[in-house]
Amino acid sequence: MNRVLITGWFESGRRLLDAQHAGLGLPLRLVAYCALWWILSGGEGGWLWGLPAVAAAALFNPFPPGARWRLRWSELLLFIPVFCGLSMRSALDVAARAVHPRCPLDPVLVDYPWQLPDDGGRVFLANLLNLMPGTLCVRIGARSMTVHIIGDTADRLESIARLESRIGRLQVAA
Amino acid sequence: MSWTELVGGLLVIAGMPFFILGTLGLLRFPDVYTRLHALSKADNVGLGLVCVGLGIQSGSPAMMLKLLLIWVLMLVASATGAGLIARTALARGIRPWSP
Repeated sequence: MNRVLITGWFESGRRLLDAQHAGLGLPLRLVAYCALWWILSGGEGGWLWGLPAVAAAALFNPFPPGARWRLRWSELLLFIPVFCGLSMRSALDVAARAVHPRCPLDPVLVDYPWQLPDDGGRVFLANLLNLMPGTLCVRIGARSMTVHIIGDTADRLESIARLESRIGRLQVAA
Repeated sequence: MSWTELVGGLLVIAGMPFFILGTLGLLRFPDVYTRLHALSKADNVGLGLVCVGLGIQSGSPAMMLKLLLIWVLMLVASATGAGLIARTALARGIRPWSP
């Protein structure tokens, strides 16, 4: 009885590890976590503690194997300057409204139908909008999301559509 | 004073007004949604400038990357937090302010 239990436990553990080891996942995680340790330790080493921590974190991966998220890294790199520029515009926009004597806001709620498929991309877009000029996502629905907009509505909707197609291009079709 | 200290210092100083104006928006804007706009957008740029400024001043690549990592994690936390508060507010029936 005990032997069956232990063998079963061992088998399922081995299968889990096998699944994690498959493909590029494990070496990639090892490199990424080593880099993370180097950053966290301020470049001073401490590898006596770091290496076991890196190995443990890479072996017992909390993310399900066979990732749903495949990113186009070149698109991600291209998105960084766009994101910084839009963040700056958004901060200046809201700062100008805050110092204006009458606080011009004119908020509206707008339903925005999704073009993206129903996976992580929608939540990513909804959260990203909170940092972009004049938009705040207030509801995530099955077919659409509701966005709280301050400023020129048509202009904001256009930039949401641009961001959405950008996020669509970020993901590699599975 | 070396140029890294000068550029870093200027970036840190440039970040300060964003915190002040974000807080001003928090105090002056009329409802929860507009206040979230003020906080989530202004503070992130302020923190970004402060982090990059301090990173340049430190002169150490690992410290620069650590500060950038802090900024990115703050961006994620701030965007997610603002979204959660906004969605909860609307789900509980809080109507947005309109003039």
